[in-house]
Amino acid sequence: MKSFKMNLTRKKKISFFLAIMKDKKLFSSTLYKDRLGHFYILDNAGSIMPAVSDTTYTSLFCFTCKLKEDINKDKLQIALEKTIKRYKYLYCKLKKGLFWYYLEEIEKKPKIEDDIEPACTNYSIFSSPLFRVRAKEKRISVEFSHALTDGTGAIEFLKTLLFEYFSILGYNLPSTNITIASSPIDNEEFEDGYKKYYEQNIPKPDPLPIAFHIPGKVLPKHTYRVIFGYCKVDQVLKVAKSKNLTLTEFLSAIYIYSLQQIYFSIDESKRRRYSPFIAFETPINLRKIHPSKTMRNFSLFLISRIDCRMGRYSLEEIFELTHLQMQTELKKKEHLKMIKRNVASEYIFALRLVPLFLKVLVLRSAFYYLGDGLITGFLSNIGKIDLDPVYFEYIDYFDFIPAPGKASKTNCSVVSFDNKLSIAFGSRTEEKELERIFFSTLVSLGIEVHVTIKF
Amino acid sequence: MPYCYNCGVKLDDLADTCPLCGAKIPIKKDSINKLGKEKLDENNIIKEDERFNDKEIVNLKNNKNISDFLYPAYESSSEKQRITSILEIISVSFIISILSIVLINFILEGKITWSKIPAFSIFFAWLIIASILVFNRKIFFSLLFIFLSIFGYLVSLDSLNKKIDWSINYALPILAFCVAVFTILFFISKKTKLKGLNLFAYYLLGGCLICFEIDIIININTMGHIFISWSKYVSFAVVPISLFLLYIHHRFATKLPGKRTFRI
Repeated sequence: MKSFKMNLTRKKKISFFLAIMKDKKLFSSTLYKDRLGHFYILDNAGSIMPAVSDTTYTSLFCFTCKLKEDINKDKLQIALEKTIKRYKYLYCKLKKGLFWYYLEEIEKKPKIEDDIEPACTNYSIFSSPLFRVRAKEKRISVEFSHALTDGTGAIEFLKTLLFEYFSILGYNLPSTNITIASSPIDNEEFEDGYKKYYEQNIPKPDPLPIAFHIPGKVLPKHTYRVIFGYCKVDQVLKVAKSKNLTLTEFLSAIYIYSLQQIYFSIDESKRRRYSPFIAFETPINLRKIHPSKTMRNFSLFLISRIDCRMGRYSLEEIFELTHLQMQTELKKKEHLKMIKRNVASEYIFALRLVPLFLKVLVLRSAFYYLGDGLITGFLSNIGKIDLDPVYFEYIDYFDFIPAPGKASKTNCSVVSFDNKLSIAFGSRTEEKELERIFFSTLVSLGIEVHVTIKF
Repeated sequence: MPYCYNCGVKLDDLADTCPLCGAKIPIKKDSINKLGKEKLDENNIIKEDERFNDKEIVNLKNNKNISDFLYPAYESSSEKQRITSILEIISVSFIISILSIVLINFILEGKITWSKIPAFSIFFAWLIIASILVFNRKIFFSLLFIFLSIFGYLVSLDSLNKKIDWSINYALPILAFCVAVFTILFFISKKTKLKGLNLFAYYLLGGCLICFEIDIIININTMGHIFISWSKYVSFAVVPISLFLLYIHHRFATKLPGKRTFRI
């Protein structure tokens, strides 16, 4: 590690000093103390979620693990209590302050719920803990609100829960890549990574136009349709490799292709009502680029887009475009611009002084024009669940269900374990055309897909 | 496992329609789920996945350059290194200030006259800041050093007319008492679990004690004996207010909203 002195120029030293003087919390921690004890503030990405969530668009995403034998709920309950002690900064309730939301730890023991309702819906962000654990037969599901954490945080929690559960069952399994419940808590686990890497003197990224949104009737309140497609990882990787793409790029390109097909399937006279820009988001885990152990949100989106005014793109053209755009967006400087755009407003003192109810009103109306409305859909690939191969004996597969989206009504999440790739489409529309084109395209490329549906 | 002839995807064994296109599927009773039984060579899978992950990570690492950050290596530097840096910045800026003031004085008057006072002030301010930074978290040493610095500063001011008038008789006991009161208040604030109006009350009482002490010191030096004059009137106002604040705090402390509600 280079010394601090060597890395610092005089100008940067001054900036660094001024930054410390300006805000002692600038560098990250979400933990605050007052006379009633401690509380957490929401991270930059999470702070918008309470304002734009309701009981249907819950901001909940779900990880499900299907075991090879039936679950013992009593033992899972003990494992959950043990896990919560380690991740107490996740077992929180959302509260309203005068200017901001904040999180308070919950003293009450968490309970395993029955997995009876549709995933990720029928949940109030204000009256419940910000995550819930559900179990049924062989399935354990953990649903986390994006106000609290992102996919990486949730999967770390689930891995700990599984390890503790198997330990209680008497299985002596390795803890490689798992945070065990007895390990000490690192303060970095609840830092705000965005603020940590925020740079003041850089430009914001260029604004994006409103994107195309899938037409169609919306499902009734509190319903969320999830269509799962299961493939073999090696089959998909083989095809992706033949196109010189990563798995994420490959699936994103097929998604964009499917969206394009939907756009051009709209009657030409009605098409002009829709934006011709298909903008597609792919979340990336910033922890791999900007070192952080945070369990709060720390991801950003890579945007790939095509302009349908240029006519139809072939699948091969979309493969190439997606690859190039994603590789460009992966550059670190591009993230810093996005972080700047998201975080900058939090440092404007006048905006901080605006009461919460006004902030909520503005955020609700601005969310479409600044966030949700700018994308057609997203594909979130959490990657391979890095558990020791010994776990293959006990775990069948993992599923990852995306949070319901308001403007981008259909979204996709991907997770792989062992040789099983689970692709889940969460949708709030009655139409299933997008999913049909996506999976049919995979089949046409020689990939076997097993499709199943869950409401 | 049944297939949808329209979409080409495999379906659940008992599926009668395709969930994607709605096409009807003829049910075969002997179809079995092979998905759970298929296992591929683990090494092969790991290699493929590593190719995928490694490519991304290598690309990202190549782009990473810590000097690009506005506050570089903040997280990687030790606390000691950070303090040294801050101290260096403060020292340089204070030296520049002293030199500028002395130079202006010298240019205007041809000799150093009034600039001694601001120069001394800046130097002792530097001593105080440095003591806080150097004795980071060692509050006792910080306070001791602050006391010595301020006393040194007052003696210096006193000796500008080349004789010691007030610094020993007045400044030393008042300063020593103030530092003692602040030390006690600091430890009380640290030990108090439920912080609120009670701390405000303690600080008011501390201020009241300091008033008594100043009153007594002045009277000893002027009248030659201990006598309490104006400070008792201060206490008439401060003590009831402090007691009222303590009452409010202990009565309602747990019911009043905390900083979390009002955090901007």
